[in-house]
Amino acid sequence: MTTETALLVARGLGSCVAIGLWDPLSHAGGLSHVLLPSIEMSVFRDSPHKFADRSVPLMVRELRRKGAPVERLVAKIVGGAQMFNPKGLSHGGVLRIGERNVTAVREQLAAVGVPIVGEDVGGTVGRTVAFSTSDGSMTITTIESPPRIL
Amino acid sequence: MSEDIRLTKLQLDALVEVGNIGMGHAATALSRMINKKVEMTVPYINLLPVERLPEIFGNVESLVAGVYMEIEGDANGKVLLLFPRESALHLADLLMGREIGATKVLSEIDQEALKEVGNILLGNHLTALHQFTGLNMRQSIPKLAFDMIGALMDFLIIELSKVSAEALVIETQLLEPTNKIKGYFIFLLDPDSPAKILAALGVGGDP
Repeated sequence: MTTETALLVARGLGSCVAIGLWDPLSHAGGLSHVLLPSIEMSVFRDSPHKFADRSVPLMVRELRRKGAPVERLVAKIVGGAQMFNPKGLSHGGVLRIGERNVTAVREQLAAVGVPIVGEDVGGTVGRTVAFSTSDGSMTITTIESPPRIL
Repeated sequence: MSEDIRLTKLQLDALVEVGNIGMGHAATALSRMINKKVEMTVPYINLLPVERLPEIFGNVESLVAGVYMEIEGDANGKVLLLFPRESALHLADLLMGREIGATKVLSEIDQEALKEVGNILLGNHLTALHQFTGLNMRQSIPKLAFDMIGALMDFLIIELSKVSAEALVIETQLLEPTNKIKGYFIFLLDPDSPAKILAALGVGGDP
């Protein structure tokens, strides 16, 4: 979470989802790295930004405090892949967590009224994200294709 | 819903010993498969915060081939067999009878061969465990992915974080010294499984 010009990075995202929030006017922005849809699903609860239901409201609040009201914020979301094919595994459902994370992040952003202006989600490839708060751009690196700017 | 894992030194040693025997069988099987000497480290048992799991391998963006398998039965767990990029390519060369260094990208057949390595390693491991403890465990079909290590492991962290703040990780390194092929066999026991294995070994009970 910053109002300074910064490059925020989330490395090696598989099923996790990175949420970048940004205010085009003040250039305040934040990037969180979400593991699970809800904090209720986890036994370790000391890092609220790991959960979609906590991270989104928290980022919105912190950005408001830095002079970026929620009405001006835009979001970009990246990640939520399924790295291994769950077919034929009895616990294969654990591999589909990426999809559930993306759904939860969308719901949380809709709930606070922040539009998603860019996304690169799903698929079967890992991603590294660099989020620039100077222009709100997200650079996505994968092993399969050249860096992509969102 | 949280289940803390508390183990005595004796219990940890017992798990290491079981891992050692299992991996010994697995390494022998791999050695036969590639017709090369295979060395292994003593299994390293680590009880660590779930979220720090990928850090045991350093850079989360390192490229690895990962073979993922699930274990079900008297004890449950998950296995991830990781080969750093170069090692995965060289191992595929060995398995397919090509010159070392010939492979730059894993083909479909190479991937099947690496999955088979996972199958054989875990199969031998579980057979040894069964002989030693009497516990019956089945292994799932292997799945393979080639990507950044952090990306391959995050679903495991997610899954574990639902039940336990700590992960019991038993990690063994395999090494084929001639071509410097390295593999990491990571055994993640479900939180209630160490107790079952320890009971079978006769060192159960709370510390």
